[in-house]
Amino acid sequence: MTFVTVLTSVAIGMALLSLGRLVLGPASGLIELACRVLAGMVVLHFALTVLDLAGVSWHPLGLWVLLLTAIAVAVGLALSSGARRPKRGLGGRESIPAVVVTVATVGAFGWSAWTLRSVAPDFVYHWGIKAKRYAIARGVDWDYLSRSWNDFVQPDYPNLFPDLYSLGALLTGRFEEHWPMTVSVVLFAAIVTTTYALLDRIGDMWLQVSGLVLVGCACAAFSIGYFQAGGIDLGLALAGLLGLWLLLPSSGDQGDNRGGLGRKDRALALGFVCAFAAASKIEGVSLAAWLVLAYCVTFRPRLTELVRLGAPLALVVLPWAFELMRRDLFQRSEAAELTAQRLWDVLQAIPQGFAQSSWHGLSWLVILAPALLVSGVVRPIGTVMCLQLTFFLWVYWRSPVEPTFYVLSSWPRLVFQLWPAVVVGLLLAAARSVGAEGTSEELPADLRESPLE
Amino acid sequence: MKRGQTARWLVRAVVIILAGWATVALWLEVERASATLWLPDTPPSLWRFDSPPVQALGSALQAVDQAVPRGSVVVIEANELAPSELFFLMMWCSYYLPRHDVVRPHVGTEGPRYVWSYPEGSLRLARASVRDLATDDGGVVGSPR
Repeated sequence: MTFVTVLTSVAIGMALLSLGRLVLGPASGLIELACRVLAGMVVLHFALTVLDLAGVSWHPLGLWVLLLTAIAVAVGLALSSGARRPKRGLGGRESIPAVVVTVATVGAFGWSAWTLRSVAPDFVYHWGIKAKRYAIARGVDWDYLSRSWNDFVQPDYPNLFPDLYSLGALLTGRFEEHWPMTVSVVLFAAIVTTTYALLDRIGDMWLQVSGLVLVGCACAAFSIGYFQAGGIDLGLALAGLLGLWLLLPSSGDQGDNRGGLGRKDRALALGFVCAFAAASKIEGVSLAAWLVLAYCVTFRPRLTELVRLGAPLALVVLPWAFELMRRDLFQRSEAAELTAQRLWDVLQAIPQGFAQSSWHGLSWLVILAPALLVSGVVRPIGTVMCLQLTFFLWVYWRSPVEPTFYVLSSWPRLVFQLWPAVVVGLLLAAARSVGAEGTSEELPADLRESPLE
Repeated sequence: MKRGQTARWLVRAVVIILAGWATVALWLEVERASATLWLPDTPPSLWRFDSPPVQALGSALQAVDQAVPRGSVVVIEANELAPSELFFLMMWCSYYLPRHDVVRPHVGTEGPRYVWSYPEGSLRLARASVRDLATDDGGVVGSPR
Protein backbone atom coordinates (compact mmCIF):
# COMPACT_ATOMS: atom_id res chain seq x y z
CA MET A 1 0.00 0.00 0.00
CA THR A 2 1.47 3.35 -1.02
CA PHE A 3 1.70 6.35 1.30
CA VAL A 4 -0.72 8.26 -0.94
CA THR A 5 -3.30 5.47 -0.61
CA VAL A 6 -2.93 5.50 3.18
CA LEU A 7 -3.46 9.25 3.32
CA THR A 8 -6.39 9.09 0.90
CA SER A 9 -7.97 6.25 2.89
CA VAL A 10 -7.72 8.32 6.07
CA ALA A 11 -9.26 11.33 4.31
CA ILE A 12 -12.14 9.26 2.89
CA GLY A 13 -12.70 7.64 6.30
CA MET A 14 -12.87 11.04 8.00
CA ALA A 15 -15.21 12.32 5.29
CA LEU A 16 -17.52 9.31 5.70
CA LEU A 17 -17.69 9.85 9.46
CA SER A 18 -18.30 13.55 8.89
CA LEU A 19 -21.10 12.92 6.40
CA GLY A 20 -22.60 10.41 8.84
CA ARG A 21 -22.38 12.96 11.62
CA LEU A 22 -24.07 15.59 9.48
CA VAL A 23 -27.15 13.42 8.99
CA LEU A 24 -27.28 11.52 12.31
CA GLY A 25 -25.65 13.94 14.74
CA PRO A 26 -22.60 13.27 16.93
CA ALA A 27 -21.80 9.70 17.97
CA SER A 28 -21.52 8.90 21.65
CA GLY A 29 -20.54 5.24 21.50
CA LEU A 30 -19.18 2.44 19.34
CA ILE A 31 -22.49 1.37 17.79
CA GLU A 32 -23.43 4.93 16.94
CA LEU A 33 -20.01 5.31 15.33
CA ALA A 34 -20.69 2.25 13.15
CA CYS A 35 -24.09 3.73 12.20
CA ARG A 36 -22.39 6.94 11.13
CA VAL A 37 -19.88 5.10 8.96
CA LEU A 38 -22.73 3.36 7.12
CA ALA A 39 -24.74 6.59 6.90
CA GLY A 40 -21.65 8.36 5.50
CA MET A 41 -21.34 5.69 2.80
CA VAL A 42 -25.02 6.13 1.92
CA VAL A 43 -24.73 9.94 1.71
CA LEU A 44 -21.61 9.69 -0.45
CA HIS A 45 -23.29 7.16 -2.74
CA PHE A 46 -26.34 9.42 -2.97
CA ALA A 47 -24.17 12.44 -3.81
CA LEU A 48 -22.37 10.52 -6.56
CA THR A 49 -25.72 9.27 -7.88
CA VAL A 50 -27.08 12.83 -8.05
CA LEU A 51 -23.98 13.97 -9.95
CA ASP A 52 -24.38 11.03 -12.28
CA LEU A 53 -28.08 11.73 -12.91
CA ALA A 54 -27.25 15.38 -13.57
CA GLY A 55 -24.61 14.37 -16.10
CA VAL A 56 -21.78 15.87 -14.02
CA SER A 57 -18.59 13.82 -14.16
CA TRP A 58 -16.89 12.73 -10.93
CA HIS A 59 -13.90 15.01 -11.27
CA PRO A 60 -11.16 14.31 -8.70
CA LEU A 61 -10.87 17.98 -7.77
CA GLY A 62 -14.61 18.27 -7.18
CA LEU A 63 -14.57 15.10 -5.08
CA TRP A 64 -11.70 16.39 -2.94
CA VAL A 65 -13.63 19.64 -2.41
CA LEU A 66 -16.75 17.66 -1.44
CA LEU A 67 -14.89 15.45 1.05
CA LEU A 68 -12.84 18.23 2.61
CA THR A 69 -15.92 20.45 2.92
CA ALA A 70 -17.77 17.64 4.72
CA ILE A 71 -14.85 17.24 7.13
CA ALA A 72 -14.59 20.99 7.72
CA VAL A 73 -18.32 21.39 8.38
CA ALA A 74 -18.38 18.40 10.76
CA VAL A 75 -15.33 19.69 12.65
CA GLY A 76 -16.89 23.14 12.81
CA LEU A 77 -20.12 21.72 14.19
CA ALA A 78 -18.24 19.63 16.74
CA LEU A 79 -16.25 22.64 17.94
CA SER A 80 -19.26 24.94 18.12
CA SER A 81 -21.46 22.45 19.97
CA GLY A 82 -18.73 21.15 22.30
CA ALA A 83 -18.21 17.53 21.23
CA ARG A 84 -19.51 14.98 23.69
CA ARG A 85 -17.04 12.48 25.05
CA PRO A 86 -18.01 8.93 24.23
CA LYS A 87 -19.93 7.42 27.15
CA ARG A 88 -17.81 4.35 27.08
CA GLY A 89 -15.69 2.84 24.36
CA LEU A 90 -12.92 0.31 24.31
CA GLY A 91 -11.09 1.91 27.20
CA GLY A 92 -10.61 1.22 30.91
CA ARG A 93 -9.25 -1.83 32.69
CA GLU A 94 -12.48 -3.83 32.39
CA SER A 95 -12.25 -3.55 28.60
CA ILE A 96 -8.80 -5.14 28.29
CA PRO A 97 -10.07 -8.63 27.25
CA ALA A 98 -12.36 -7.02 24.69
CA VAL A 99 -9.51 -4.88 23.33
CA VAL A 100 -7.30 -7.97 23.00
CA VAL A 101 -10.03 -9.89 21.13
CA THR A 102 -10.77 -6.92 18.87
CA VAL A 103 -7.12 -6.31 18.01
CA ALA A 104 -6.46 -10.02 17.41
CA THR A 105 -9.45 -10.65 15.15
CA VAL A 106 -9.29 -7.38 13.23
CA GLY A 107 -5.52 -7.86 12.94
CA ALA A 108 -5.93 -11.38 11.54
CA PHE A 109 -8.53 -10.33 8.99
CA GLY A 110 -6.64 -7.12 8.18
CA TRP A 111 -3.47 -9.11 7.50
CA SER A 112 -5.29 -11.47 5.14
CA ALA A 113 -7.09 -8.59 3.37
CA TRP A 114 -4.15 -6.24 2.93
CA THR A 115 -1.89 -9.05 1.71
CA LEU A 116 -4.70 -9.91 -0.77
CA ARG A 117 -4.94 -13.47 0.56
CA SER A 118 -8.67 -13.32 1.25
CA VAL A 119 -9.96 -11.27 -1.69
CA ALA A 120 -13.51 -12.26 -2.60
CA PRO A 121 -13.83 -13.86 -6.05
CA ASP A 122 -16.77 -11.55 -6.76
CA PHE A 123 -14.46 -8.59 -6.23
CA VAL A 124 -12.59 -9.71 -9.33
CA TYR A 125 -15.62 -10.95 -11.25
CA HIS A 126 -17.73 -7.81 -10.99
CA TRP A 127 -17.34 -5.37 -8.03
CA GLY A 128 -13.74 -4.53 -8.89
CA ILE A 129 -14.35 -4.44 -12.65
CA LYS A 130 -17.21 -1.97 -12.14
CA ALA A 131 -15.12 0.15 -9.78
CA LYS A 132 -12.32 0.39 -12.34
CA ARG A 133 -14.77 1.19 -15.16
CA TYR A 134 -16.47 3.91 -13.08
CA ALA A 135 -13.12 5.45 -12.17
CA ILE A 136 -12.10 5.55 -15.84
CA ALA A 137 -15.50 6.89 -16.95
CA ARG A 138 -15.67 9.28 -13.95
CA GLY A 139 -19.21 8.13 -13.29
CA VAL A 140 -21.35 5.02 -13.49
CA ASP A 141 -20.49 3.55 -16.88
CA TRP A 142 -24.05 2.87 -18.02
CA ASP A 143 -22.93 2.33 -21.63
CA TYR A 144 -20.67 -0.52 -20.52
CA LEU A 145 -23.37 -1.99 -18.29
CA SER A 146 -25.95 -1.75 -21.07
CA ARG A 147 -23.99 -3.76 -23.64
CA SER A 148 -25.43 -7.26 -23.62
CA TRP A 149 -22.06 -9.03 -23.71
CA ASN A 150 -21.07 -7.44 -20.39
CA ASP A 151 -23.97 -8.94 -18.44
CA PHE A 152 -21.56 -11.13 -16.43
CA VAL A 153 -20.76 -8.07 -14.27
CA GLN A 154 -24.34 -8.11 -12.95
CA PRO A 155 -25.44 -4.71 -14.34
CA ASP A 156 -28.60 -4.70 -12.21
CA TYR A 157 -26.78 -4.85 -8.86
CA PRO A 158 -26.86 -1.67 -6.75
CA ASN A 159 -23.83 0.59 -7.00
CA LEU A 160 -22.88 1.69 -3.49
CA PHE A 161 -19.78 -0.50 -3.25
CA PRO A 162 -18.46 0.05 -6.81
CA ASP A 163 -18.92 3.80 -6.25
CA LEU A 164 -17.03 3.61 -2.97
CA TYR A 165 -14.26 1.42 -4.39
CA SER A 166 -13.79 3.72 -7.40
CA LEU A 167 -13.37 6.71 -5.11
CA GLY A 168 -9.83 5.72 -4.08
CA ALA A 169 -8.79 5.50 -7.72
CA LEU A 170 -10.48 8.79 -8.59
CA LEU A 171 -8.74 10.62 -5.77
CA THR A 172 -5.28 9.13 -6.22
CA GLY A 173 -5.26 8.64 -9.98
CA ARG A 174 -4.58 4.90 -9.87
CA PHE A 175 -6.58 1.87 -8.79
CA GLU A 176 -5.08 0.00 -5.86
CA GLU A 177 -6.81 -2.99 -4.32
CA HIS A 178 -5.77 -1.82 -0.86
CA TRP A 179 -8.51 0.82 -0.65
CA PRO A 180 -11.38 -1.68 -1.18
CA MET A 181 -9.63 -4.01 1.27
CA THR A 182 -9.52 -1.16 3.79
CA VAL A 183 -13.29 -0.72 3.42
CA SER A 184 -13.73 -4.41 4.27
CA VAL A 185 -11.42 -4.18 7.29
CA VAL A 186 -13.39 -1.18 8.58
CA LEU A 187 -16.66 -3.08 8.16
CA PHE A 188 -15.18 -6.10 9.94
CA ALA A 189 -13.90 -3.92 12.79
CA ALA A 190 -17.37 -2.39 13.05
CA ILE A 191 -18.90 -5.88 13.38
CA VAL A 192 -16.56 -6.74 16.25
CA THR A 193 -16.92 -3.43 18.11
CA THR A 194 -20.71 -3.42 17.64
CA THR A 195 -20.81 -6.94 19.06
CA TYR A 196 -18.74 -5.77 22.01
CA ALA A 197 -21.03 -2.82 22.65
CA LEU A 198 -24.16 -4.99 22.39
CA LEU A 199 -22.75 -7.66 24.72
CA ASP A 200 -21.68 -4.95 27.14
CA ARG A 201 -25.38 -4.72 27.98
CA ILE A 202 -25.07 -8.09 29.70
CA GLY A 203 -23.97 -7.96 33.32
CA ASP A 204 -22.10 -11.26 33.09
CA MET A 205 -18.39 -10.77 32.30
CA TRP A 206 -17.91 -14.44 31.32
CA LEU A 207 -20.68 -14.26 28.75
CA GLN A 208 -19.51 -10.89 27.43
CA VAL A 209 -15.95 -11.93 26.76
CA SER A 210 -16.64 -15.46 25.55
CA GLY A 211 -19.46 -14.16 23.35
CA LEU A 212 -17.13 -11.59 21.81
CA VAL A 213 -14.46 -14.26 21.24
CA LEU A 214 -17.09 -16.49 19.61
CA VAL A 215 -18.39 -13.82 17.22
CA GLY A 216 -15.01 -12.19 16.49
CA CYS A 217 -13.09 -15.41 15.87
CA ALA A 218 -15.83 -17.17 13.89
CA CYS A 219 -16.37 -14.12 11.65
CA ALA A 220 -12.62 -13.72 11.13
CA ALA A 221 -12.14 -17.42 10.38
CA PHE A 222 -14.94 -17.42 7.82
CA SER A 223 -13.91 -14.10 6.28
CA ILE A 224 -10.34 -15.32 5.80
CA GLY A 225 -11.15 -18.88 4.73
CA TYR A 226 -14.09 -18.05 2.46
CA PHE A 227 -12.45 -14.93 0.95
CA GLN A 228 -14.68 -12.07 2.09
CA ALA A 229 -12.35 -9.09 1.61
CA GLY A 230 -13.69 -6.77 -1.05
CA GLY A 231 -17.03 -8.59 -0.97
CA ILE A 232 -20.36 -7.23 0.20
CA ASP A 233 -21.42 -9.80 2.79
CA LEU A 234 -19.48 -8.09 5.61
CA GLY A 235 -21.59 -4.98 5.06
CA LEU A 236 -24.85 -6.89 5.20
CA ALA A 237 -23.71 -8.73 8.34
CA LEU A 238 -23.03 -5.35 9.95
CA ALA A 239 -26.43 -4.06 8.79
CA GLY A 240 -28.08 -7.05 10.48
CA LEU A 241 -26.24 -6.37 13.76
CA LEU A 242 -27.18 -2.69 13.70
CA GLY A 243 -30.75 -3.73 12.91
CA LEU A 244 -30.70 -5.87 16.06
CA TRP A 245 -29.61 -2.86 18.13
CA LEU A 246 -32.12 -0.48 16.57
CA LEU A 247 -34.98 -2.92 17.09
CA LEU A 248 -34.23 -3.48 20.78
CA PRO A 249 -36.95 -1.97 23.00
CA SER A 250 -34.63 0.72 24.35
CA SER A 251 -31.67 1.30 22.09
CA GLY A 252 -29.06 3.38 23.76
CA ASP A 253 -25.42 2.61 23.37
CA GLN A 254 -23.30 0.75 25.91
CA GLY A 255 -26.09 -0.59 28.06
CA ASP A 256 -27.59 2.81 28.42
CA ASN A 257 -30.90 2.38 30.17
CA ARG A 258 -31.27 6.04 30.91
CA GLY A 259 -33.20 6.90 27.81
CA GLY A 260 -31.31 5.70 24.75
CA LEU A 261 -32.21 6.83 21.26
CA GLY A 262 -35.28 8.94 20.71
CA ARG A 263 -37.90 7.46 18.41
CA LYS A 264 -37.12 9.91 15.61
CA ASP A 265 -33.37 9.32 15.88
CA ARG A 266 -33.94 5.59 15.90
CA ALA A 267 -36.15 5.75 12.80
CA LEU A 268 -33.60 7.85 10.92
CA ALA A 269 -30.68 5.62 11.93
CA LEU A 270 -32.58 2.50 10.89
CA GLY A 271 -33.51 4.26 7.63
CA PHE A 272 -29.82 4.72 6.85
CA VAL A 273 -28.99 1.13 7.81
CA CYS A 274 -31.78 -0.08 5.48
CA ALA A 275 -30.58 2.26 2.73
CA PHE A 276 -27.05 0.88 3.10
CA ALA A 277 -28.31 -2.70 2.84
CA ALA A 278 -30.53 -1.97 -0.15
CA ALA A 279 -27.78 -0.05 -1.98
CA SER A 280 -25.28 -2.87 -1.41
CA LYS A 281 -26.84 -5.94 -2.96
CA ILE A 282 -30.12 -7.45 -4.12
CA GLU A 283 -30.60 -9.52 -0.95
CA GLY A 284 -29.99 -6.31 1.00
CA VAL A 285 -33.24 -4.97 -0.47
CA SER A 286 -35.19 -7.81 1.13
CA LEU A 287 -33.27 -7.36 4.41
CA ALA A 288 -34.20 -3.67 4.37
CA ALA A 289 -37.85 -4.54 3.72
CA TRP A 290 -37.98 -6.94 6.70
CA LEU A 291 -36.26 -4.39 8.97
CA VAL A 292 -38.80 -1.73 8.02
CA LEU A 293 -41.65 -4.18 8.54
CA ALA A 294 -40.31 -5.24 11.97
CA TYR A 295 -39.90 -1.60 12.99
CA CYS A 296 -43.44 -0.72 11.96
CA VAL A 297 -44.95 -3.71 13.78
CA THR A 298 -42.84 -3.19 16.92
CA PHE A 299 -42.97 0.57 17.34
CA ARG A 300 -46.12 1.57 15.40
CA PRO A 301 -44.43 4.72 14.08
CA ARG A 302 -46.11 8.07 13.49
CA LEU A 303 -45.99 9.69 10.05
CA THR A 304 -42.88 11.79 10.80
CA GLU A 305 -41.01 8.68 11.91
CA LEU A 306 -42.12 6.85 8.79
CA VAL A 307 -40.76 9.68 6.67
CA ARG A 308 -37.43 9.52 8.51
CA LEU A 309 -37.35 5.75 8.12
CA GLY A 310 -38.30 5.72 4.46
CA ALA A 311 -36.52 8.80 3.09
CA PRO A 312 -32.93 7.45 3.05
CA LEU A 313 -34.17 4.18 1.60
CA ALA A 314 -36.17 5.93 -1.13
CA LEU A 315 -33.26 8.24 -1.98
CA VAL A 316 -31.01 5.31 -2.90
CA VAL A 317 -33.51 2.79 -4.22
CA LEU A 318 -35.56 5.04 -6.51
CA PRO A 319 -32.67 6.42 -8.64
CA TRP A 320 -31.24 2.90 -8.97
CA ALA A 321 -34.60 1.41 -10.00
CA PHE A 322 -35.20 4.36 -12.35
CA GLU A 323 -31.90 3.82 -14.20
CA LEU A 324 -32.44 0.06 -14.43
CA MET A 325 -35.92 0.47 -15.88
CA ARG A 326 -34.87 3.27 -18.21
CA ARG A 327 -32.05 1.16 -19.62
CA ASP A 328 -33.86 -2.17 -19.33
CA LEU A 329 -31.07 -3.67 -17.23
CA PHE A 330 -33.06 -5.95 -14.92
CA GLN A 331 -31.69 -9.45 -15.44
CA ARG A 332 -34.70 -11.62 -16.05
CA SER A 333 -34.50 -15.35 -15.59
CA GLU A 334 -37.15 -17.94 -16.12
CA ALA A 335 -38.73 -19.08 -12.86
CA ALA A 336 -38.49 -22.79 -12.15
CA GLU A 337 -41.61 -24.80 -11.63
CA LEU A 338 -42.30 -24.96 -7.89
CA THR A 339 -42.20 -28.73 -7.51
CA ALA A 340 -41.85 -30.74 -4.32
CA GLN A 341 -38.86 -32.51 -5.87
CA ARG A 342 -36.98 -29.23 -6.37
CA LEU A 343 -37.74 -28.13 -2.81
CA TRP A 344 -36.48 -31.50 -1.56
CA ASP A 345 -33.28 -31.08 -3.61
CA VAL A 346 -32.74 -27.63 -2.10
CA LEU A 347 -33.33 -28.87 1.45
CA GLN A 348 -30.96 -31.78 0.87
CA ALA A 349 -28.22 -29.41 -0.30
CA ILE A 350 -28.58 -27.02 2.67
CA PRO A 351 -26.68 -29.28 5.17
CA GLN A 352 -23.78 -29.44 2.70
CA GLY A 353 -23.84 -25.64 2.58
CA PHE A 354 -23.70 -25.47 6.36
CA ALA A 355 -20.77 -27.89 6.33
CA GLN A 356 -18.51 -25.57 4.28
CA SER A 357 -15.06 -26.03 5.80
CA SER A 358 -14.31 -22.39 6.67
CA TRP A 359 -17.32 -22.34 8.99
CA HIS A 360 -15.96 -25.26 11.04
CA GLY A 361 -19.54 -26.24 11.89
CA LEU A 362 -20.39 -22.93 13.58
CA SER A 363 -22.74 -21.93 10.73
CA TRP A 364 -25.32 -24.33 12.19
CA LEU A 365 -26.04 -21.80 14.96
CA VAL A 366 -28.15 -19.90 12.41
CA ILE A 367 -30.84 -22.59 12.52
CA LEU A 368 -31.50 -21.37 16.07
CA ALA A 369 -32.89 -18.11 14.60
CA PRO A 370 -36.49 -19.17 15.36
CA ALA A 371 -35.49 -19.39 19.06
CA LEU A 372 -35.15 -15.58 18.98
CA LEU A 373 -38.92 -15.39 18.52
CA VAL A 374 -39.41 -16.75 22.05
CA SER A 375 -37.69 -13.82 23.75
CA GLY A 376 -39.61 -10.56 23.56
CA VAL A 377 -36.47 -8.42 23.56
CA VAL A 378 -34.98 -9.90 20.41
CA ARG A 379 -38.22 -11.02 18.76
CA PRO A 380 -38.18 -8.20 16.15
CA ILE A 381 -34.70 -9.10 14.84
CA GLY A 382 -35.61 -12.80 15.15
CA THR A 383 -38.54 -12.14 12.84
CA VAL A 384 -36.26 -10.33 10.39
CA MET A 385 -33.74 -13.19 10.39
CA CYS A 386 -36.42 -15.87 9.93
CA LEU A 387 -38.04 -13.93 7.07
CA GLN A 388 -34.67 -13.50 5.37
CA LEU A 389 -33.88 -17.22 5.71
CA THR A 390 -37.30 -18.02 4.25
CA PHE A 391 -36.63 -15.58 1.42
CA PHE A 392 -33.33 -17.33 0.62
CA LEU A 393 -35.10 -20.71 0.50
CA TRP A 394 -37.81 -19.25 -1.71
CA VAL A 395 -35.20 -17.92 -4.19
CA TYR A 396 -33.47 -21.32 -4.30
CA TRP A 397 -36.81 -23.03 -4.88
CA ARG A 398 -37.90 -20.60 -7.60
CA SER A 399 -34.60 -20.28 -9.44
CA PRO A 400 -33.94 -22.38 -12.57
CA VAL A 401 -30.29 -22.95 -11.54
CA GLU A 402 -29.33 -26.50 -10.57
CA PRO A 403 -30.19 -26.54 -6.85
CA THR A 404 -27.17 -28.32 -5.33
CA PHE A 405 -24.69 -26.12 -7.19
CA TYR A 406 -26.70 -22.99 -6.39
CA VAL A 407 -26.93 -23.74 -2.67
CA LEU A 408 -23.31 -24.82 -2.28
CA SER A 409 -22.00 -21.76 -4.12
CA SER A 410 -23.94 -19.21 -2.08
CA TRP A 411 -25.34 -20.63 1.18
CA PRO A 412 -22.13 -20.28 3.27
CA ARG A 413 -21.92 -16.53 2.59
CA LEU A 414 -25.67 -15.95 2.87
CA VAL A 415 -25.51 -17.55 6.32
CA PHE A 416 -22.69 -15.15 7.16
CA GLN A 417 -24.97 -12.16 6.47
CA LEU A 418 -27.26 -13.35 9.28
CA TRP A 419 -24.86 -15.13 11.62
CA PRO A 420 -23.59 -12.25 13.83
CA ALA A 421 -27.09 -10.86 14.46
CA VAL A 422 -28.52 -14.30 15.24
CA VAL A 423 -25.68 -15.26 17.60
CA VAL A 424 -25.60 -11.92 19.43
CA GLY A 425 -29.40 -12.06 19.69
CA LEU A 426 -29.17 -15.55 21.17
CA LEU A 427 -26.57 -14.38 23.69
CA LEU A 428 -28.76 -11.44 24.75
CA ALA A 429 -31.79 -13.70 25.02
CA ALA A 430 -29.85 -16.32 26.97
CA ALA A 431 -28.48 -13.69 29.35
CA ARG A 432 -31.96 -12.36 29.89
CA SER A 433 -33.40 -15.80 30.51
CA VAL A 434 -30.64 -16.67 32.98
CA GLY A 435 -30.93 -13.27 34.63
CA ALA A 436 -34.66 -13.71 35.10
CA GLU A 437 -34.06 -16.88 37.04
CA GLY A 438 -30.91 -15.71 38.75
CA THR A 439 -29.56 -12.23 39.38
CA SER A 440 -31.70 -10.01 37.20
CA GLU A 441 -30.37 -6.92 38.90
CA GLU A 442 -27.20 -7.29 36.82
CA LEU A 443 -29.10 -6.73 33.59
CA PRO A 444 -29.91 -3.33 32.15
CA ALA A 445 -33.52 -2.34 32.46
CA ASP A 446 -34.29 -2.81 28.79
CA LEU A 447 -33.24 -6.43 28.93
CA ARG A 448 -35.41 -7.05 32.00
CA GLU A 449 -38.55 -5.21 31.06
CA SER A 450 -39.68 -5.72 27.55
CA PRO A 451 -42.69 -3.78 26.34
CA LEU A 452 -43.12 -6.45 23.71
CA GLU A 453 -44.34 -9.15 26.04
CA MET B 1 -31.90 -19.55 43.18
CA LYS B 2 -29.73 -22.63 42.87
CA ARG B 3 -31.43 -23.70 39.66
CA GLY B 4 -30.86 -20.20 38.31
CA GLN B 5 -27.16 -20.37 39.06
CA THR B 6 -26.88 -23.81 37.47
CA ALA B 7 -28.57 -22.51 34.33
CA ARG B 8 -26.24 -19.56 34.30
CA TRP B 9 -23.14 -21.73 34.52
CA LEU B 10 -24.55 -24.01 31.86
CA VAL B 11 -25.01 -21.07 29.47
CA ARG B 12 -21.52 -19.82 30.29
CA ALA B 13 -20.03 -23.29 29.67
CA VAL B 14 -21.74 -23.61 26.27
CA VAL B 15 -20.59 -20.16 25.13
CA ILE B 16 -17.03 -20.71 26.42
CA ILE B 17 -16.80 -24.02 24.55
CA LEU B 18 -18.09 -22.38 21.37
CA ALA B 19 -15.62 -19.52 21.86
CA GLY B 20 -12.75 -22.00 22.17
CA TRP B 21 -13.99 -23.77 19.06
CA ALA B 22 -14.09 -20.48 17.12
CA THR B 23 -10.57 -19.61 18.30
CA VAL B 24 -9.24 -22.91 16.95
CA ALA B 25 -11.15 -22.28 13.70
CA LEU B 26 -9.48 -18.88 13.33
CA TRP B 27 -6.08 -20.36 14.04
CA LEU B 28 -6.59 -23.03 11.37
CA GLU B 29 -7.74 -20.49 8.77
CA VAL B 30 -4.78 -18.19 9.43
CA GLU B 31 -2.46 -21.19 9.09
CA ARG B 32 -4.14 -22.20 5.85
CA ALA B 33 -3.99 -18.66 4.44
CA SER B 34 -0.32 -18.26 5.26
CA ALA B 35 0.66 -21.63 3.80
CA THR B 36 -1.28 -21.66 0.54
CA LEU B 37 0.59 -23.58 -2.14
CA TRP B 38 -0.09 -23.06 -5.83
CA LEU B 39 0.31 -25.76 -8.42
CA PRO B 40 1.15 -24.79 -12.01
CA ASP B 41 -2.11 -26.28 -13.33
CA THR B 42 -4.45 -24.54 -10.86
CA PRO B 43 -7.55 -23.68 -12.94
CA PRO B 44 -8.73 -20.05 -13.23
CA SER B 45 -11.78 -20.73 -11.03
CA LEU B 46 -9.35 -21.29 -8.10
CA TRP B 47 -6.98 -18.42 -8.83
CA ARG B 48 -6.40 -15.86 -6.08
CA PHE B 49 -4.66 -12.52 -6.11
CA ASP B 50 -1.50 -13.81 -4.52
CA SER B 51 -1.17 -16.74 -6.94
CA PRO B 52 1.60 -16.87 -9.59
CA PRO B 53 -0.77 -17.36 -12.57
CA VAL B 54 -2.60 -14.13 -11.69
CA GLN B 55 0.62 -12.18 -11.36
CA ALA B 56 1.75 -13.50 -14.75
CA LEU B 57 -1.63 -12.73 -16.32
CA GLY B 58 -1.64 -9.18 -14.94
CA SER B 59 1.80 -8.48 -16.43
CA ALA B 60 0.91 -10.04 -19.78
CA LEU B 61 -2.31 -8.06 -20.11
CA GLN B 62 -0.52 -4.76 -19.54
CA ALA B 63 1.02 -5.24 -22.97
CA VAL B 64 -2.38 -6.08 -24.48
CA ASP B 65 -3.88 -2.98 -22.89
CA GLN B 66 -1.30 -0.84 -24.62
CA ALA B 67 -1.53 -2.66 -27.95
CA VAL B 68 -5.27 -2.30 -28.63
CA PRO B 69 -7.19 0.98 -28.96
CA ARG B 70 -9.13 2.10 -25.90
CA GLY B 71 -12.70 0.76 -25.78
CA SER B 72 -11.96 -2.27 -27.97
CA VAL B 73 -13.61 -5.66 -27.71
CA VAL B 74 -10.99 -8.23 -26.67
CA VAL B 75 -11.88 -11.89 -27.16
CA ILE B 76 -10.14 -14.32 -24.83
CA GLU B 77 -9.31 -17.64 -26.42
CA ALA B 78 -7.93 -20.62 -24.50
CA ASN B 79 -8.14 -23.93 -26.31
CA GLU B 80 -6.66 -25.84 -23.40
CA LEU B 81 -9.38 -24.78 -20.97
CA ALA B 82 -12.85 -26.19 -20.43
CA PRO B 83 -15.67 -23.70 -21.24
CA SER B 84 -16.45 -23.12 -17.55
CA GLU B 85 -12.79 -22.32 -16.81
CA LEU B 86 -12.61 -20.06 -19.85
CA PHE B 87 -15.43 -18.04 -18.28
CA PHE B 88 -13.37 -17.48 -15.12
CA LEU B 89 -10.27 -16.64 -17.18
CA MET B 90 -12.32 -14.11 -19.15
CA MET B 91 -13.44 -12.40 -15.92
CA TRP B 92 -9.84 -12.20 -14.65
CA CYS B 93 -8.83 -10.70 -18.00
CA SER B 94 -11.71 -8.23 -17.77
CA TYR B 95 -10.45 -7.14 -14.34
CA TYR B 96 -7.01 -6.44 -15.81
CA LEU B 97 -8.35 -4.80 -19.00
CA PRO B 98 -10.84 -2.27 -17.62
CA ARG B 99 -10.50 0.02 -20.65
CA HIS B 100 -11.90 -2.67 -22.93
CA ASP B 101 -14.87 -5.01 -23.20
CA VAL B 102 -13.65 -8.57 -22.67
CA VAL B 103 -15.66 -11.53 -23.98
CA ARG B 104 -15.45 -15.23 -24.79
CA PRO B 105 -15.18 -16.35 -28.46
CA HIS B 106 -18.81 -17.42 -28.89
CA VAL B 107 -20.28 -14.21 -27.46
CA GLY B 108 -21.56 -11.90 -30.18
CA THR B 109 -20.45 -8.27 -30.16
CA GLU B 110 -20.47 -5.32 -32.52
CA GLY B 111 -17.51 -3.95 -34.46
CA PRO B 112 -13.94 -5.24 -34.69
CA ARG B 113 -12.64 -7.73 -32.17
CA TYR B 114 -9.13 -8.39 -30.98
CA VAL B 115 -8.45 -12.02 -30.11
CA TRP B 116 -5.90 -12.79 -27.42
CA SER B 117 -4.87 -16.41 -26.95
CA TYR B 118 -4.03 -17.79 -23.55
CA PRO B 119 -1.41 -18.89 -22.63
CA GLU B 120 0.50 -18.26 -25.87
CA GLY B 121 -0.14 -14.54 -25.69
CA SER B 122 -0.77 -14.06 -29.41
CA LEU B 123 -2.96 -11.15 -30.39
CA ARG B 124 -4.80 -10.75 -33.68
CA LEU B 125 -7.55 -8.59 -35.09
CA ALA B 126 -10.72 -10.37 -36.13
CA ARG B 127 -12.63 -8.21 -38.60
CA ALA B 128 -16.26 -8.28 -37.64
CA SER B 129 -18.28 -10.89 -35.92
CA VAL B 130 -17.99 -14.41 -34.60
CA ARG B 131 -18.79 -15.84 -38.01
CA ASP B 132 -16.29 -13.67 -39.86
CA LEU B 133 -12.90 -14.45 -38.45
CA ALA B 134 -10.65 -13.10 -41.19
CA THR B 135 -7.69 -11.98 -39.14
CA ASP B 136 -4.56 -9.89 -39.11
CA ASP B 137 -1.97 -11.69 -37.06
CA GLY B 138 -0.46 -9.30 -34.56
CA GLY B 139 2.05 -11.77 -33.17
CA VAL B 140 2.80 -12.37 -29.51
CA VAL B 141 1.87 -9.30 -27.48
CA GLY B 142 1.69 -10.51 -23.93
CA SER B 143 2.45 -14.02 -22.78
CA PRO B 144 1.96 -15.16 -19.22
CA ARG B 145 4.44 -17.97 -19.84
